[in-house]
Amino acid sequence: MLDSLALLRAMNGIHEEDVIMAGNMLFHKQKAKHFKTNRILTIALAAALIFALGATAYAIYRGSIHARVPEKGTTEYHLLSGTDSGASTELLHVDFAKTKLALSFDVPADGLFPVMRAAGLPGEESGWRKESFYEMLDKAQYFGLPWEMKLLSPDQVQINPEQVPEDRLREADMDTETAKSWYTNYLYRGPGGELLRIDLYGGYRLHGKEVILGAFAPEDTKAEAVKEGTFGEYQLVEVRMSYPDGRAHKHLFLFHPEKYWLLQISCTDDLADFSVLEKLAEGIEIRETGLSAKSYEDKIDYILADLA
Amino acid sequence: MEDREIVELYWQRSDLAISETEQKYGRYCRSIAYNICGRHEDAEECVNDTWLRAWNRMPDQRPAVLSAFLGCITRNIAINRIKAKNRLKRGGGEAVLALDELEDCIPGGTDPEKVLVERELEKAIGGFVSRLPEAERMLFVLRYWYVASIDEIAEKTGFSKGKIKSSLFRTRGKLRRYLQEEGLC
Repeated sequence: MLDSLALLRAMNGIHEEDVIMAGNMLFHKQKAKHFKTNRILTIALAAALIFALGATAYAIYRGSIHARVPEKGTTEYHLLSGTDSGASTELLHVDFAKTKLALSFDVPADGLFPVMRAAGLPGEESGWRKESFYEMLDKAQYFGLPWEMKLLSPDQVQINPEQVPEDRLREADMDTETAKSWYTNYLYRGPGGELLRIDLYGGYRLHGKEVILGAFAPEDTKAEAVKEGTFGEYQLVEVRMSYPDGRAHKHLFLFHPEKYWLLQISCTDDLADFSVLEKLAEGIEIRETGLSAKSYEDKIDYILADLA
Repeated sequence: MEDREIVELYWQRSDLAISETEQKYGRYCRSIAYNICGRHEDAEECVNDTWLRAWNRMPDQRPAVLSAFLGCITRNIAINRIKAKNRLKRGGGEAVLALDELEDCIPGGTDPEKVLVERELEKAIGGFVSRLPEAERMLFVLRYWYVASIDEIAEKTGFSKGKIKSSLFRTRGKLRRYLQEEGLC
């Protein structure tokens, strides 16, 4: 019977040169220093690769952003409900067998709290439906939290306080006026649901977590990473999810390998091409507030998820 | 003393063989044994047993790399020891965490004993590890050959603990798939 103990014993098969190399690291300080030097050299080589082979080579080299099909199994996670816009967290069981795609990132536990805002959104962009991008923005509405923006199409309207459903007010553990104000920020009405959503995740929200796509999607949902590369200082992954009923969503991920920011821009498939989402990304400004992540949000521990 | 001279002492059945080995590789073997057993007393006994086993193996064997030869003996003794004492879930040291992590590589519901011989598995793992990128290989060997703690690996390599855990997670996934592809589990 193969168990972890047998596997640990079988590590004896690791070649002697590899054992010696690691042993030198473990038992000889001067060797460790040498390895760190090697790391610097390696980084320098990577930089050379960027120039020599271009951005794609660097993205492949970095390897810190990657898409994978998760292992089967069931694990407990705190899941942020996309439809509740972060108003609540739920403890759910995610069956990875049904998960279509997961992205994981190497990020530290701590970090500063970043915010984003639309700045200089591309007015010249056209071809987004029949209207220019900027014209559409004029009619659209933004709302959301500092780390989240939603762009609603003209046929969707954010509700006013008097439109908050009674049952929501009853469920809320707060006074009526506060509840109205709260839900006004989180509810909207209109056909089709939200069309475009932009989320920013700081490293502290990604530490040890994964961004899961299609956790509850039907089995024959398809997830495809259609593009990987670099985007300015960011690493880029573009994913298209298509569902059995014909619907599809686009997801654009931009990961900053030094700041540990992850920007996710998602939209319904027919709304825009990835090139439009990239244009949109160019116009988003992200900055650090100086607030530590812990001081801002120290009680929420969830895995990031998209329930598309 | 050079390794080949120490090995020669074993072949000559000289008492100096063990004292020279202790002097040169005592700390090395104790560290490995302690990482696995989690107790200094057990580690000490493992090391003593290592010298005895090395004495019994030489001659016939003439190890090419004495450190790896002794390290393998120490690992086997230490693993047997924690297995025999059935302490895996009750404070078995760093090995407990390492073993828990290695569970990732083992698909549930299989009984691969019928298709697996230990030597094949060792050979497969050796080949798998040798093909890993250098940094990834280093971290994997430190964790699963030397059974070093994440803190210790971070200290020695300069990598963040998050990066180390993430790297090990990915490598375990690769190993699992590799063992499945090779029909070893």
